[in-house]
Amino acid sequence: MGNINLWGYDPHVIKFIHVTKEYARPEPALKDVSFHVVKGQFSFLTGHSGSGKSTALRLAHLAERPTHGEVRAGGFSSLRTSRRDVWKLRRKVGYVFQDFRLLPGRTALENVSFALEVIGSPKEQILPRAQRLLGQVGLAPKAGSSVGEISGGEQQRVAIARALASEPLLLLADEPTGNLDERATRGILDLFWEINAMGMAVLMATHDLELMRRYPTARVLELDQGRLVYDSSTTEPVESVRDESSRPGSGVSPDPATVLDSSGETSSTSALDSAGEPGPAQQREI
Amino acid sequence: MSRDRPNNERSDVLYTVRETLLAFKRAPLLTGLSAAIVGLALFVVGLFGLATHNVRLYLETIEERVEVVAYLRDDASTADIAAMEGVLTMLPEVLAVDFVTKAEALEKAYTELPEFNEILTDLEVNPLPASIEIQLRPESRTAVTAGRIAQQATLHPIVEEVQYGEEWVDKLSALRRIGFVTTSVLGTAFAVVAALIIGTAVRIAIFARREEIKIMQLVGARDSFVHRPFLLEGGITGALGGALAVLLTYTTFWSVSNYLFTISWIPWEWAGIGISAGIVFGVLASVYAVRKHLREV
Repeated sequence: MGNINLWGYDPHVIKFIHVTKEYARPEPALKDVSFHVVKGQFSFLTGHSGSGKSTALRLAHLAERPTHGEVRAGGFSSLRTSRRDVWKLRRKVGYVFQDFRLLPGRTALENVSFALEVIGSPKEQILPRAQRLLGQVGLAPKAGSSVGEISGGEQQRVAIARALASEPLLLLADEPTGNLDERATRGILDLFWEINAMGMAVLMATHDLELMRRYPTARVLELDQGRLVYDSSTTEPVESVRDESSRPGSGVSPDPATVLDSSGETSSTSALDSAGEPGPAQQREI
Repeated sequence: MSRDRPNNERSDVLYTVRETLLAFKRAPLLTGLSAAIVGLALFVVGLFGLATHNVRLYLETIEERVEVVAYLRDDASTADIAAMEGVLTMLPEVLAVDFVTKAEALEKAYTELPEFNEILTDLEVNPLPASIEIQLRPESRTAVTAGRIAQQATLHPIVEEVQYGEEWVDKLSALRRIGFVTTSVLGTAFAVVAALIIGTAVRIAIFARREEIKIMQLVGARDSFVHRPFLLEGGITGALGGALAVLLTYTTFWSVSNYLFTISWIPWEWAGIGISAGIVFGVLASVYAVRKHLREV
């Protein structure tokens, strides 16, 4: 049994508990990283390339296991979830890639239907649900288009619709706008924000400062050389790197956008609150 | 938690069958070639089976002639002969005991050895001894048993000499053993070849669909759901190979029987076992390939 949430409500959709991930190279990809994400929270995971962002997301999806420490995601622990049960976690945690990973030669609708089919949706529900999901990401008119014929932004929307197929608690996105132009990027970000407003937690890895500036209420976690050096949800410096976090030019933390994060609520949070789900406003309560 | 439940088994089965048929449609050459090679490998097994079966039948007809003959002294009384027959009949290895008189022996010599007829006619005294022919039960037609019965018969005072053809009885046993071992070893070797071919074909199929598999694992497909089409594919390849092997073996049997010499067809159960073995090997090879190659995304 990988599900650890047996005794009641657990607001955490992700917990990293002293996580270290080592590969066959001198420096570990992640060093003693601890943080958690609560239900309905929108978080950016930032840092330079090679800082460990993708590794953290892969660990949260149990595509890999930590070398030390524990990762919990969607109620599943890296210590207790067997390889055979990883599929259960995958249905609670959606994943979106920079390169979309769609099935080429198939239509947008077929790509989403495929996901619904493989998770065992009843046959008669597959088509209407796939159409509804595409509608949700604003792609209903392009449902019948082959994914090779639509733009990058539209392809990413298909990938997001696919990730939503299993109605996950949490969406992990690894540089989802990395291959997109500015306009498409804005559209995709707005879409993530809307999805979050419906109560789904989002953890998005990005190194795009502009992006984070545009959503000042989102929480920001910063990784640098495998260490968590900044967490906007806490006023305290991150304990494990107390000295390093204050050094000049250590990353994006001195940026005005991230400083803004730790300030008060905005109008968008009240909209989320009215949806009855915890939103970015709750981030400081963890 | 309803999302975790493996729901809608029927659509799962439909998916498995459809994906398997699609795989055959997508790569007919790969499937056809692997089934053909599996068929050829199993055909070799079939040929050995056919040969072994016929050698066995032939040896059985020879073995029926394995008997112990006790030649009797001319002065043996009827009572002694009856007593000896009684003792021999009681032995568990003995099927039947047949007394052949001197006159019957001579008559037999006339019919079986016509070239000596003149000599036999010229004889004034019948030189052939009376004998008791001891037929053994089928399971006792071995050199050891025949030797033991011969030994017992020799001890009887009215017996002059005992013959049971020990040399060729020994050779027959050796031949049977060689046939059995050869078929087993080659059968196993070619069955392994067939399994390796199916495993490789499944591996290629997995490689061809790796992107699709990654996406399936990404969105939370159960392992069994991902694996089943490949297992079915392996099983069907094995079944096709097995059927082809039976067809080729039957063609060989038919050709040999019609154009060379008459042989017997193997029992149909063997053919059934062959095809079943093809399926089992196909599925097992696929299980191995799938386990080895379908790791995490």
